[in-house]
Amino acid sequence: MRIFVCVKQVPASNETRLDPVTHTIIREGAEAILNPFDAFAVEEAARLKERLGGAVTALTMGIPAAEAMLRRVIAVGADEAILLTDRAFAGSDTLATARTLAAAVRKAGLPDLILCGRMATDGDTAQVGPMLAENLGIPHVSDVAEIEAVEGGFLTARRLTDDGYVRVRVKLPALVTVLKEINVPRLPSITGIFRGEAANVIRWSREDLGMDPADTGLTGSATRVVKTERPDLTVKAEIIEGTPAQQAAALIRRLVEKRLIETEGRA
Amino acid sequence: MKLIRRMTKDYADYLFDESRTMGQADYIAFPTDEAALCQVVRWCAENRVPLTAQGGLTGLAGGASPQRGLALNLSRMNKILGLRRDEDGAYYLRVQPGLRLTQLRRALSAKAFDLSGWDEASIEALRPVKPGQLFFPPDPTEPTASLGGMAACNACGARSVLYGCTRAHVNALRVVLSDGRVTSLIRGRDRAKGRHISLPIEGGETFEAELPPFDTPDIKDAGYFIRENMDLVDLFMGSQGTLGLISELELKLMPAPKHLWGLTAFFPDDENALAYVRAVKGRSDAGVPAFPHRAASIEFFDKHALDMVMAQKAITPAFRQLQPLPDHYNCGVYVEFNGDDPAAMSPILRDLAAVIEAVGGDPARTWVARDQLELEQLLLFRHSVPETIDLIIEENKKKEPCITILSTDMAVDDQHFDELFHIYKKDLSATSLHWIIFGHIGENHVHPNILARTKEEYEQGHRIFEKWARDVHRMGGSISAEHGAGKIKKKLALIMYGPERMHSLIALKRAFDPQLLLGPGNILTMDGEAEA
Repeated sequence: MRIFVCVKQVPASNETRLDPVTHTIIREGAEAILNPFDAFAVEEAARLKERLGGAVTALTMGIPAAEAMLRRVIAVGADEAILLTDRAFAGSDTLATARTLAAAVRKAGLPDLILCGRMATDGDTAQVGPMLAENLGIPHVSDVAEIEAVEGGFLTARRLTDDGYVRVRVKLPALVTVLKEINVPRLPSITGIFRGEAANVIRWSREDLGMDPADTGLTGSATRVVKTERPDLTVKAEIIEGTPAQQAAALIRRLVEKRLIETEGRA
Repeated sequence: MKLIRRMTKDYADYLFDESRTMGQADYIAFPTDEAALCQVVRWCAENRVPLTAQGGLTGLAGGASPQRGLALNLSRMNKILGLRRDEDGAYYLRVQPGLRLTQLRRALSAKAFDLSGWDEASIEALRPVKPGQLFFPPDPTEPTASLGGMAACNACGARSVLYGCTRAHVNALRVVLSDGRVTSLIRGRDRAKGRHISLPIEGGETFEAELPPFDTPDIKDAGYFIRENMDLVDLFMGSQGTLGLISELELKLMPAPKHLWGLTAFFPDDENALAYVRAVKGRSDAGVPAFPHRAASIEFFDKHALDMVMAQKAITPAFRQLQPLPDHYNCGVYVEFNGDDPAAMSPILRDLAAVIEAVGGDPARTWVARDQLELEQLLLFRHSVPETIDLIIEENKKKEPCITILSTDMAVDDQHFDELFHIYKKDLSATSLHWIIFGHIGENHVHPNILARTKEEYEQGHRIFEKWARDVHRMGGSISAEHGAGKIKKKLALIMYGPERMHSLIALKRAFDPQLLLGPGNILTMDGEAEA
């Protein structure tokens, strides 16, 4: 069984912090890590390979430094890795990203299964996986909590919906995005780390993929980021002092003032 | 709100610590500053009410479980008070004793400080500090421990292999004495003259006393630390609230290592693990390659500990994220490295792989944590062992109320450790008790734990501990390297000190606390109490 697993590098932290002395935003922790959701896809790929045999290829689009992340993915179970890197890919939205990944999958040859994390922690869109499947013309199952069986050219999975779990059966080749609950990603062994260090990471550019520049990067994107701003996270707390009766009366007064409650006939 | 309150069932959670030593009290107080703390202590002195200090209630020897009188809960004295930088560039942080280690770590790693009440000089000292630049090295496994509690029993934890115990990182103390007066002690400035001590009291007086005529063991320390010409700060470190009450600490901070990583290796037998530990500590056996790097911590898990955690994993949702163990595991050793250069990891891994192979392990049967994020998983695993013990003891206690945690932290030197380890295994294997061995093997103090299910097993456990205390005493070791003797291990302290030295420690105690009100039942076996 040939399995592809799509991974992405994301910033280690999304937290906004203020320096207590200068009251300015602390800009550090720019460290890049493997998108935490993708770790579950990588682990699931490794487990399927152990169960069914075959090979796992990790695929990412990113800056040249993303190679280090791919070596880490090889350390925990992937056999090889492909890095799509080119200035022409810069500024890709989800559509252009999916198109570029699809071109790489077609160049490498469509595998039996493509696994993705449910979303990336930086963009939170959860779009690239399903878009990649549509682009390749294969079915996809999102939010999978368990892959129950892979047999006879079909995959059976349990996926989470708003109303509970649904068991689905899908014809392979297919794409599956996975939830956190699907497994516990393993830590690498020393042997795994050495394998990652020694592995050959394949690099493909726009030309290697034979893509039209108009289809990639910012120009190939259907959406534009017009402006970004940080949400105001200030929460004001007010402590009401006094006896319980006084506190209750003061609380009612504040809630009425804010028109959150009405007092019938006594206001 | 009244400072001194009657004990009611609302405060039942303040009658025991993590060892599940059940106590009793008539009063409880939650001071928020030193002035209020002094007020409570004076009230106790005037009314002859004994008092027991409490911090995070995470102790494993019952030191914070009140025996009677007043539970002095310091958890609301949890502020960070200020920062200074000395001429050598070292940073010192002033904190209240109820501050929890988690709060301190969060403040340092995120530069998240509440500056209300800070003076200008402290704010200026903090200005250039970057998040994560500074750290406080002591790492007792339980991060909700309070700094005052860590000082009171001189907690060590895993990283003391590299950084030493809490003692090494406390520069100054303010201590409230039994009559409510306050002394302020600074390391290097306030020292004993021979065995005579003179403590400067705020307001100009001094407090004079004589130290006992002997030195406490060199290998870690259970309870008191006594030396000629010693720093007076050290007199209160490890004294478990029996000589005075710490009201403020000045912590010496270190530049934080930039790259923390580690690995757990699994071995087919304890003997392989012991050979591995010897090698990692720079004492490789013949035929095992030399290992020239220095570890920050070395932790051991025996098969019983691993089995216990895996069984609990099936029940406890919080343990779901624990790594599955490799097939046919027997025991594991966790080694952590603290450095600045991530590129240093690969050569160390190569050297470790060679050692692991030479001692009969397999580099493929390892878990490597390459960064802080992955390290959290190994630390979660380490922490899951005492957490599971907690859960099991809580359950066993429902059937037999006398049961407490029975964990030892005896320490010996490198030459005697393997002998002691084999004694532990031999004595435990000869019983039908539920037992595990895990812990700080890097500093020769693993924690054999007996998880008693009945009163008989509980008493049998105590007898085994007393036998080990005699073994350890013979080897020149210490009966408690880090948890303190508290109440559970005071009998072991008596074995280690012997009756004569115990007498002179009691004389020291009486000098500080003539009414014997501070920390009743901790460490000391009073006259007539022995063999009760």
